[in-house]
Amino acid sequence: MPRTDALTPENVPPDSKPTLDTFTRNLGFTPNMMATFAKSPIAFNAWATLRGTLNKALDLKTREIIGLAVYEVNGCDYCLAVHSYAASMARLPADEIMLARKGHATDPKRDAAAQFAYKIIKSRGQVSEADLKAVRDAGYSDANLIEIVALVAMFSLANFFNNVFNPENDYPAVTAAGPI
Amino acid sequence: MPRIEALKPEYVPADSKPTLDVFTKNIGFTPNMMATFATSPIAFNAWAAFFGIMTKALDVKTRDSIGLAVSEVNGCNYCLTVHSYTAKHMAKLPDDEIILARKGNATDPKRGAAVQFARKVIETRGKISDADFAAVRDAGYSDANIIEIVGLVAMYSLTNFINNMADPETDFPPVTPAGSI
Repeated sequence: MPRTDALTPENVPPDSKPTLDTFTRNLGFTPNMMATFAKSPIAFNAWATLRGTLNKALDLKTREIIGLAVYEVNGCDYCLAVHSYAASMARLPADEIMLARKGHATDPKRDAAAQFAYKIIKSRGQVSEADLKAVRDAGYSDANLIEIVALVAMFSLANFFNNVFNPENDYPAVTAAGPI
Repeated sequence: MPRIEALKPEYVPADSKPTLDVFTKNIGFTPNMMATFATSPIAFNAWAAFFGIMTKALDVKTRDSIGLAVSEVNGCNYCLTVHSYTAKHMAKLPDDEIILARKGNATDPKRGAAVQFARKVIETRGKISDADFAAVRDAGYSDANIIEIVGLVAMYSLTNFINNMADPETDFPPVTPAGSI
């Protein structure tokens, strides 16, 4: 059960409304997560800004794979629904979604990013020299490494938020994201 | 030894320079952490914008105490040197209050509830109990405030993870272990 109610449209704070409207327009509906997050215009706009800028990092498929790997480690039911939906939008096939949740990808370069992200969230950043070497050898620059870690934290914010508030799941069911 | 080199001034990407210059001016020097983070203009500017907005949440003592509690759980020694320094000089927290924050508490009961909650959020990755949620709410925090605490936990974790990975050379006054919680 949700720990707090999602806002009804008439109760959305004016400072959260423009950001919430953008998400609603892009997603086609207002997810309960967003309608809850919007209760704090400060945190909601801060997170939307972080997300908007980090959308320029790497490529869409790699970002989604990182999101799925991070979800799996943090454990977040609502996020599974969100990321499985988003991954299907990023045209990731079902088996690729399963692989991402285990911290892997078919493409070798993306696989290295997924493994690195998985280790970052699991170890809270305390990765080994070998982990760093592996992701660098796959062709990622220092700037890319920093971007992967920032994405891990960005996805973790949503994970923590959803675990704390436990919004009612309202994302379309994606059969591909069954149990591991 | 650092695993990602801090940039020398002449190598700072043009898109990172304005943000880095602001931090340098506010802090009084260019921390190695910032000169490393600036390697990615995308991530550095994203974080700086996020950080800038989050400084409007709660109050500086509570924010810094949360930063200390989260850095302790994530085991980021460099971050503990930064947050201990800012907590002392900017938030004006006494030394024993800084140690208390690292252990996930505060003398002030309301701030103590926020810091305890933040510590539980990072320890459990958000899977707190109903009792944890009731405690922070009973201390007087609104839903908006609780959302802000969660946002701050992730914000501090972002730099904790980056510094744990990059391991910048210490350039803030060192800290000693806080002792058992």
